[in-house]
Amino acid sequence: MAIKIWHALNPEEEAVFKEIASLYMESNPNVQIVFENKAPDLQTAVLAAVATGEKFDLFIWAHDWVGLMVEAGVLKPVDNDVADVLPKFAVPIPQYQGHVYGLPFTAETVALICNRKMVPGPPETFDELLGIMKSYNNPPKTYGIAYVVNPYFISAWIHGAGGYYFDDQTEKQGLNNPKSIAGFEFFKKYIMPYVGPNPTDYNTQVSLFLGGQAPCMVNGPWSIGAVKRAGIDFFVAPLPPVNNTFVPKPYGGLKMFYTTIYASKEAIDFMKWFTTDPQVAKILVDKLGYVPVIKDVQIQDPVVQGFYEAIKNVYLMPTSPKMQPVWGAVELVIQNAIVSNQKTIPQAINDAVEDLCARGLC
Amino acid sequence: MRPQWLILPGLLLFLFFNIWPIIYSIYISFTNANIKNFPPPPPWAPEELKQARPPPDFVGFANYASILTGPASSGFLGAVFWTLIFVALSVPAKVALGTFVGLLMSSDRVVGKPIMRALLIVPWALPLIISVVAWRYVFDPTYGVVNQLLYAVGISKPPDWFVNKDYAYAAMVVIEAWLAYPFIMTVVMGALANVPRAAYEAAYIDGAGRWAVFTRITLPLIKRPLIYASVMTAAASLQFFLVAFLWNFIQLYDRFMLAYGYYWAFGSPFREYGLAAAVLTMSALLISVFMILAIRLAGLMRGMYES
Repeated sequence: MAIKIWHALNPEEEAVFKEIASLYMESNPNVQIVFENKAPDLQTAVLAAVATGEKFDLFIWAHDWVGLMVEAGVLKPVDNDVADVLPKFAVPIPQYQGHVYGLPFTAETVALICNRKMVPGPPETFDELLGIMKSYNNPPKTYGIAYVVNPYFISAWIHGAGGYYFDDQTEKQGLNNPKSIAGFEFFKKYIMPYVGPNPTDYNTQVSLFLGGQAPCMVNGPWSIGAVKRAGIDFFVAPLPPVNNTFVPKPYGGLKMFYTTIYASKEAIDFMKWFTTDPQVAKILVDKLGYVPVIKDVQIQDPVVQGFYEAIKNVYLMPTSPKMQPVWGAVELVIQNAIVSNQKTIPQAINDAVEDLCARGLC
Repeated sequence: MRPQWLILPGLLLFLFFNIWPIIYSIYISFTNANIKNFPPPPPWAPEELKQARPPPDFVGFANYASILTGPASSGFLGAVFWTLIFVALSVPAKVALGTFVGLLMSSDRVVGKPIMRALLIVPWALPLIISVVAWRYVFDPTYGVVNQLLYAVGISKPPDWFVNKDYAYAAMVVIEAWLAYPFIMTVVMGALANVPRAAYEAAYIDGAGRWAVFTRITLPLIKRPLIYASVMTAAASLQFFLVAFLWNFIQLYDRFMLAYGYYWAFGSPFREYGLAAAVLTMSALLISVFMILAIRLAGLMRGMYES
């Protein structure tokens, strides 16, 4: 019985996944697990395969494709098959219109990554962070913070202020909600002035931090490899709260197995084992620095621990495909009113929402 | 066998590779094809897939109506307007630059022409993605040459060429001129090679100055190829898309006809292929009308069928 799994993992991840799969095959000799790498465009590969009737059991990606893939007829609900393992998870399982279409094995979000030479320990409050940003803000030598100003990275402050880009339940955008506006205004007033040059460019921001030109950077687990290679002594901590009610809640993604309409029972069993077995979780933590999403996992690595703390405040990315155009709308607000002053924030939001509505998407 | 049959292989290939895709995309433009139903499953696909993906519905002129009269129509017409402005700005720039360099490269007084010619062709030969990356460095708001120069001449806050819509649009004009001048230059150089030297010598003997030689002799003699090249390059400007897409799409999508169509159809939750096909068909029609008018007005076909 062969289980076909499509993915776009990097070579390091792929090696570990194959290693784990061979563990499973040892105890289940009737099963043959085959990984097929479809990078760089897994989405197109999956949609094209489905249209032609090509069969595979599972594929691996972050959870924000669920809605799109359901609408395209790619996935089948597995609510009953996985009901027995759901209590093992420490995070909400991604759903679309009330159904489960796969299981997650790691979570990703942004946190504060600081250089110990410049910042001795994690700031407990936003005021402390503000103090750090102010004291290092001495352009063009040093800057207050390295921060990629885009919709994903700054979402923490909009959600923290009580606003939202998009409500996954009602499938409506929430940009013109007064609390969302307050969140954008907060970011612009208290963080934007201390961000280094080319705020929308990922590489510039990362290199500022790596070059010691910024005390902290806001980034995700995927950036840790570069930080380690640069030989920086660093720590990872959640974004600090502004006050008791204003706690930053960054968008987070769950990397998961998706069950296609062709997923066999064996494939679903393998997915359940992979996502909930503590031994697998430990291998993923130790070898790849993955942040676990099941309960009862011992984490020794302080970096993974830092992101694990950050995950507790996470705001899950929507699964609805109707989020897609909202990303562009937020990008416009950021470009027009935060990194530049072409418009005020309420104006920019108003224009972006009007454009969404004109296309029938609000 | 009658000789007419010999065109059959060519005709079939032409029909298959050219006409069929055109007819098919026009057909798509009359349906609600999107990610949910297109492409439809093949006959041998399993039953569960056929149920999950019903074939697209025929929607008549709904896609066209939504472009021309729907709530987003003002956006599309705005994009058409800005595309025409882009043609008006970029075509003269390309033609002037290309002609100037072409004349220089045909002059006897320029040394090292073979090497320079090879270098000048570079923009044409370089893969577009590399050109765009290079230009991104040039226009980088902080580290780029352009803003460093502006800063050096006393402009304390030089513009952001990515985020600011109008400056990004201006950058597009500059880049398009740079990308296309080698084409014009090549055409001009080719045309100049056919101009008899005797014409120049006669003009100089008669006492004509450089400007007079250019306007009275050179220009009339290269006029036809130059107009032809201008019409071709105007069509390229009308279809401008990829550079804007790679530059900062979110600011530029409503300034170019094809970009707007792409954004509208593919920026929607389910990738509206039907709508995209309708936008393309409309754009193709507009561009065809423009080309036919330009060729007629320039008299390019005159004399074509007389002989």
